[in-house]
Amino acid sequence: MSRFRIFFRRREAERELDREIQHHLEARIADLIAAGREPEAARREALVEFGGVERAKEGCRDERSGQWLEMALQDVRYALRRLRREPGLSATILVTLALGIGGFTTIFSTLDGLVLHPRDLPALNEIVTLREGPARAAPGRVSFAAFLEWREATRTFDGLAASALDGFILTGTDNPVPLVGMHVTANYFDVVGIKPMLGRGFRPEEERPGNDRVVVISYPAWQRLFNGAPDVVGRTIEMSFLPYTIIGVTPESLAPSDQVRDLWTPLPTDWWPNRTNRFSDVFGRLKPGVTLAQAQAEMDALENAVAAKFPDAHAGWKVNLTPRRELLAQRWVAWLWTLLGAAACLLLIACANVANLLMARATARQREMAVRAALGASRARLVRQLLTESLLLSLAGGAAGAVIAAGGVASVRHLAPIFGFEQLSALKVGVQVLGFALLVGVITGVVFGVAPAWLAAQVDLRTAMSAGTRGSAGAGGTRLRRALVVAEVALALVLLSGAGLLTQSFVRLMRADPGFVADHAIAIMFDMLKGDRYETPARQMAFMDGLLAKIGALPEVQTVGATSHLMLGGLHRRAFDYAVKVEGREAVVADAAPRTARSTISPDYFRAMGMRLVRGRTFDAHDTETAPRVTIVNETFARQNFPGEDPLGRRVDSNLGWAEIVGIVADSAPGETDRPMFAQMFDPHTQRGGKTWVVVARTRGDPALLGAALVRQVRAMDKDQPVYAVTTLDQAVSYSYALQRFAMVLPGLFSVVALILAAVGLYGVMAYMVSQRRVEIGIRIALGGQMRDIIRLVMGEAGRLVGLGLALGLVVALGAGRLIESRLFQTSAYDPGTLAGIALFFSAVAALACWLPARRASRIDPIVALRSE
Amino acid sequence: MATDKSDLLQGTLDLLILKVVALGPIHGYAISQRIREMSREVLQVQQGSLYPALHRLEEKKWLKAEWGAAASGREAKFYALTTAGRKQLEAEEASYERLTGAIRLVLRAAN
Repeated sequence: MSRFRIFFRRREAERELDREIQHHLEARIADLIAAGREPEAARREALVEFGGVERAKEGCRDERSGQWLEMALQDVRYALRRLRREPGLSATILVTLALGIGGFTTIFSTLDGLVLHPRDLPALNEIVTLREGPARAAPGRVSFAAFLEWREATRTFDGLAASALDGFILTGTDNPVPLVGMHVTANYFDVVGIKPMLGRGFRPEEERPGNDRVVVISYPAWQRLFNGAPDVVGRTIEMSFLPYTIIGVTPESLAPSDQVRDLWTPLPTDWWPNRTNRFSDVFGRLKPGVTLAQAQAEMDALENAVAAKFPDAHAGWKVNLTPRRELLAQRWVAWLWTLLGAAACLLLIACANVANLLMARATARQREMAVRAALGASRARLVRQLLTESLLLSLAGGAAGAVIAAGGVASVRHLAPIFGFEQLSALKVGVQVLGFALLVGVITGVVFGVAPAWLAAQVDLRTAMSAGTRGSAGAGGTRLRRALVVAEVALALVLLSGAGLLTQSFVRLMRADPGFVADHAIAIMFDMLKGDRYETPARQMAFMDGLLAKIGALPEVQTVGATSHLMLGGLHRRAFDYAVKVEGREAVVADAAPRTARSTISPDYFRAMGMRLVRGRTFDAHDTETAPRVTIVNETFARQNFPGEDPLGRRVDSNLGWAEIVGIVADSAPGETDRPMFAQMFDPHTQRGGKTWVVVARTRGDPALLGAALVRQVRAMDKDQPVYAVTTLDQAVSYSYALQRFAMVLPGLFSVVALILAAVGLYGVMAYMVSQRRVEIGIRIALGGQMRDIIRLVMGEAGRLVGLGLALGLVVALGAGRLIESRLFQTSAYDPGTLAGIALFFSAVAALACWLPARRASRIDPIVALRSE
Repeated sequence: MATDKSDLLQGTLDLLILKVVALGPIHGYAISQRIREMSREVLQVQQGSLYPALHRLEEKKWLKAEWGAAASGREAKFYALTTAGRKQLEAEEASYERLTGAIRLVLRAAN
């Protein structure tokens, strides 16, 4: 007979069981009467002889198959009834679990999407990024000429590809559209493993100069610009007035690395032949079976050969090989693991708290347990019952946690691309996330339900029944609950101190002098049209001079300046890394020169930005194309290149010829604390020109109102010229601090929740202790104990628990602080002020949590307390 | 309840029930009476164990049950041995013999 049929025939089976036992009793009674007993006495004797009827029935039911299902359902029904009867407690446990599980699942999913099972480019690990640099300095981008030689010679790579970001402008329409794209070598798509969805990728001959007017567009661009027209391949588009043929469309599922969203076009072999201009991102796929060390050995040999031919550019340089995944990891993965640790801490606190609450409840239910045990419920059955309750709670908590995780993952998906994690934009709130949350929930339920259930089932019938309402979970239970609270306090302190350090660091970062004035300023960005219109420096300068004059003439504008690169967090488009030669020290340059970011500025740029000139002068009308070349450097540049010397009047060369340093400007914060301040060098646009511009205007009024007027001035200069971004400097700054804020918000949130949970746990234990010791406290009061003494008694007990927890927590916090040290701005991981403040704050919250039970203890009426015994 | 009577050896209750049922279809109360009589009042089966054991043996398909009229005229649940039950009984009897024989040997040697 199948279990289910037995299950559905349950009623019948019950009836049969009743009849069978009834028959037994009647037969016995009849025998006893026959033996001469009075009917009443016979009946009593038969019952006594039989022992517990219910217990026997329970035993029979246990033997029946299909029983587990039946009992499980019974347990579930019973548990639901219990949980509904204590809505406050159930809700507390539910929310606690949901927060713990939701937080943990969100972070874990992110980490999973980023590191454990990255879903973006195939075999991310096999793709190795190659960088070049002097042996003793951080490696940077590669010169294109060197790349071409490597590509020719390599035997360890299946193919080396190079790429370089660029801006494009779609012309030939009423409104020119700015596009973001990449110049890539023909083998780029093969190396990264992208197959065009429509059309084809590039052919080797399309790298030849003149053959390179072909373009592969991305799926979003195809949708946006062509409404997904199926015949788009073969069409011609105009970019900067030059015709390009569309040869392919990349698939939708592709999550492009870097910031490419719109298009790819070939990197012609005559691109930047100069060896000291290092603008290429180079990467390749290792041949099967080739180790990183073998590839490194080959590249070392290749680089040495190149250095022998071109000692100026390559002597003493090294090639750095890093698997792409590791490259990403260097900045972020450690941080995510730290966050995962924090989330795990939170989950543990939540679990400890739930265990604590369950145990408190189990204690309160001892009488119920005793009654059920007396009625024939076996200990196993009681444990099963309690476990069912905690499992139900944790399943519900897991479900709620899954909802939270779904929200968390969705926000990560939205935020991640902003921080450069394109591959996370494919992160899904899938079955995996939900399943994981539920799994965590079930594990939580079992692990943290077993102890309370086991303890609760240790009922001693006689004491439980006779002691009235007061039961005792025994010393074991109390010890366990105290240990849980100590652990909660310790874990919460670890989280709090981490969040405290991050907050401290963020506050210092916000208060730190950024080196410029962010308010009342607005920036617009554009790339000049390609093609003949702005090809010569003279035309570029003429355009900029005209534009700056027009904007400067606007009545709302106080000052206006322009720069090729706004060095602000995520906003600045990378100023390239240059190796700068110092006159008189040419020999050391190639080896150890620090990398310098170079930008071109208009004379009034520093004034418009509010940057402070430390020494020397700014550019002026005399610095024309024909005048001697001049440059201004920042303090970091001066410190790095001229330690203990006066840089003013010295000459440096960043590949444009020697230029005299005429001024030193104060460092301005790049807005990213985990990157050290870098050397900067500013050239006058009047000597250099340039096509990429950020115009910064300062006003007395609301800068946001100025944006439209600035764009109009650009259009007044050239109606075909698009502007791709308008932002106030305040926005730009907060954007660049967004990362810091983001890094702080999550641990902050975790620690607040942890604090609340720990306080709840502490309150629970102290309230329980007070109810356990009512009689003792009552006697103390009856014997003349003052309110003060009683409060001291309770608070002293709490103080011991909190003190122990804090001491443990501090030890762990000191170790954990090292994990986040690299994220801290002018803040030590051992910042004593912060740690002491956190401990003090925590103690205050703990005192508050214990004050209520202490107060209740002090108000115990000794007569009532003693009578209840 | 006679607590001073010998406790049943663990696992022997099943054997006793099978043996008694092997004599012919019989209901629960009669089984307990029969065991008592046959053991000359030494073995007293507790009802709290008897009925779960009966249900267990039925579940294992060693016993089959049928409702029928008892000697008193009332409806009672009669248990009878199945073929599998008979085989089980033989196996258990053999292993019990082996066990008690072995214990006896040890006890004698120790004397």
